[in-house]
Amino acid sequence: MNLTATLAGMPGAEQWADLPDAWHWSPNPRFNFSAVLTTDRRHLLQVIALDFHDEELVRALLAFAREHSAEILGNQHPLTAVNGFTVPGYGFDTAVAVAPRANRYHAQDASLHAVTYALFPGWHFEFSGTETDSEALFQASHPQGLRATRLDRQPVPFLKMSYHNTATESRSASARRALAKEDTLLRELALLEGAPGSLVEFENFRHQVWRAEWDGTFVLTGEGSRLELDRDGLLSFARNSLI
Amino acid sequence: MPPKHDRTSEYPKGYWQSTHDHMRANWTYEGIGQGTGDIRDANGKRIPNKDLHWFDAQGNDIPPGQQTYEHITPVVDHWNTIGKNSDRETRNEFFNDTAHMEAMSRSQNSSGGGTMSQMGQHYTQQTGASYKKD
Repeated sequence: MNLTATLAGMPGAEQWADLPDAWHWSPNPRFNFSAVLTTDRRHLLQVIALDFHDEELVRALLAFAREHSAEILGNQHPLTAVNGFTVPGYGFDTAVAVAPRANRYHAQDASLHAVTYALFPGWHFEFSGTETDSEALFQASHPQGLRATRLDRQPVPFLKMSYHNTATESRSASARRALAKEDTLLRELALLEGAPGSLVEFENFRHQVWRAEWDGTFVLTGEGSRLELDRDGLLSFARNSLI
Repeated sequence: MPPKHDRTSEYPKGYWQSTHDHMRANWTYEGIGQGTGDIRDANGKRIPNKDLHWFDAQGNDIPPGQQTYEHITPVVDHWNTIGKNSDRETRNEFFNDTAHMEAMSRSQNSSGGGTMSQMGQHYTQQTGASYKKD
């Protein structure tokens, strides 16, 4: 596939000024598509912006990711988080590329999809680096994931958890930890109060794992320690552990 | 014994007309082009959802008849946090809140890692003092 010709042939495609091998096009008024060739010129790093778009942010992201092409293409894991990406006016500190097998960009064009990495800005604490294909796909493409095409999105700390609560009779579908959101963790930790036999287990982006239970007070174990905490202390610990 | 509180018992089975109109206006090529969700054919007849051209948040076309709406916050999370202690109107408003909803294909929703990767949850059976069935 001649990627240069393919990108140049996108309806309304224009080359990015001052950025080699990069194009911009818009398939409908809600979208801005931008892509740059990797240094081997055999793959695309593509940014999709739904509604909000900032040329300087996207330009910086394309340029940064291209410089790290070898790291992205050489990663055995589907998701590569490259730290050190910053743009004035934004809190992002990471550029993220998700391999074709774990994204849905150009899903209706099999040839183009097969060489397209989804590229978006993020925060280092959103990624463990060992995401499975299905986890990376969920984070990159599902509305309940990171919302990768919303460049004005808020950070979503990486979190895997499981829980069961004897008082509320709510529990996770599996005892195996799975992707969840911080709000859910904080809610279930607070609901442990007065519910002996209940458990919340959670893991952060560093793969540190803790278990919280109720034994007359909140008891937190993990990473070689055992802590007895009050409610505010437990919630504060959990929040801080995720960033 | 089936749970007393679940999605079926606590949330609507369908969406308001205004919800459909907002989604049609923002997630179909026809809606984007015409600036409205009240999209009609040359005879003035409202075009059904299945005959419109929908797209998802990655810009992919959604196959005909495959369009669905996905809440950004899972419905079960709303129930376990707010819905269990609210009236029906509050739950209906969340369910129809288009600001927190995206179009996607049914097949992507079932196979796109959603059920495999995200923590599924059971609906809490413990309701709060402000809970109202209706």
